[in-house]
Amino acid sequence: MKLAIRIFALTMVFAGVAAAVSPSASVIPSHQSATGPLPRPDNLPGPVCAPGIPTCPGVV
Amino acid sequence: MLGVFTEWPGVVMSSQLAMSLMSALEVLLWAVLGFLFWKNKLHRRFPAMGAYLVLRVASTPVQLAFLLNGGLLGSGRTSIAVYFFLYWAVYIASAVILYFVCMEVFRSALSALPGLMRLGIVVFRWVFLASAIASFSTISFLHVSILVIPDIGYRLMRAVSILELCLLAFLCLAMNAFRLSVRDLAFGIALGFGVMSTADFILAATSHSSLTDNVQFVYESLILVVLGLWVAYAALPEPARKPMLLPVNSTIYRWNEIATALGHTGTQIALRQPVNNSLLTDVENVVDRVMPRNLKGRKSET
Repeated sequence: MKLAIRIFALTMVFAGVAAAVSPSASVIPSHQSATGPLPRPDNLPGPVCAPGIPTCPGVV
Repeated sequence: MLGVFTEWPGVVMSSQLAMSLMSALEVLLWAVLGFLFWKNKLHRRFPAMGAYLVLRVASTPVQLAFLLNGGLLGSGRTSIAVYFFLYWAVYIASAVILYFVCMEVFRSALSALPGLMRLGIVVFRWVFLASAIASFSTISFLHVSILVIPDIGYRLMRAVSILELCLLAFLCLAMNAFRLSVRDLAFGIALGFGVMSTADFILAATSHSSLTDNVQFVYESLILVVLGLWVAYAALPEPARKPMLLPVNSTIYRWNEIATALGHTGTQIALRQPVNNSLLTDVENVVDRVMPRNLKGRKSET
C-alpha cells in the first residue's frame, strides 16, 4: 500500500514536471488559489497610467 | 468521451450542469475540510494550512456575491472591478500562504532531526527564491497596466507549484529514512498539493488542444479527490509517529550532528583589538622586552 502510494505520488511529480516544461503550456489560473471564474479582460478597469509611460493616452 | 457528447445540445446542458454540480461540491468540501481542521485542532500543528483554509472558505462566498450580484456596489462595472481586485488579492495571498504551508510540512517531516531541519530550511528558502526570480524574470514591464497583477499572480503560483512538486518528491524518496507514515497529515497535505500542481500544469499544457473539455472534467475530478482525501486525513485519527532508531555511525545521524553544530553559536570569546600606537604604549612594550633580559643577565652574573 505504502509503495503503491509512493509510486503514484512520484508518477504525479514526473507528470507535473513534464507538463510544466511543455512548450505548449499556457497560463491558467490555479485551483489552489481560486474557485471563482477568472475576471474577463474586457471588463477590467482601465490601464494604470503614470508619467513617462508612452502607451497611456494623454500622458506625457 | 465527453467530447463526443458535446455535439448534442441536450447533453451539452448536462455536461454544464455536471460541471456546476462539481464546482458546488468543491465549495462544500472546502467548507467541510475547514470545519474538520478547526474542530480537530489541526490548525495548532499546521497554522499556515489553517490560515489557507480560512482564506479559501471565507473568500469564495464574498467573491461569488460580487460576481453574481452586479448591483452590489451601485453599478455593475464597480462590482466587476471590485471582483477583479478581490480575486487577485486572494490569489496572491493564497500563493504566499502556500509557501508557508510547504515550510510547515517540511518542518513536520524533519522534526526528529532538528539540525538537518534548520539547514534544510535555509536551502528551501534559497530554492524558492531562485524559482521565484526565474519566474518573475519573464514578466514584461514594458507596458505597465493593470494586467501586471495577474502576471505576478501567475508567476508566483507557478513558483509555489514547482516547490510543492519538489517537496512531494523529497518526501516520497526520504519518508523511509524519516519514519514518515503515509497516514501522516504532513504527507497527506504534500500529496494533495502535489496532485493539484500536476493537474494545473497538465491543464495548462493541454489548454490549446481539442481535449480541453475532457481534461476540465478530469481536472475537476482530481480536485474533488484531493479534497476528499484531505477530509479523510482530517477526520481520521492520525497514527503516532514512530521513534527514529538510528545506529550511531549512520550517515543521516552524522549529518544531523554536523548541521546542529553549524547552527550552534557556542561560547563566545573576545578577540584582542589592535591598540593605538601612542608613545606610552611603545615605551611599555620596550620595557616589557628589556626587563626579562636584564633579570636573566643578573642571575647569570651571580
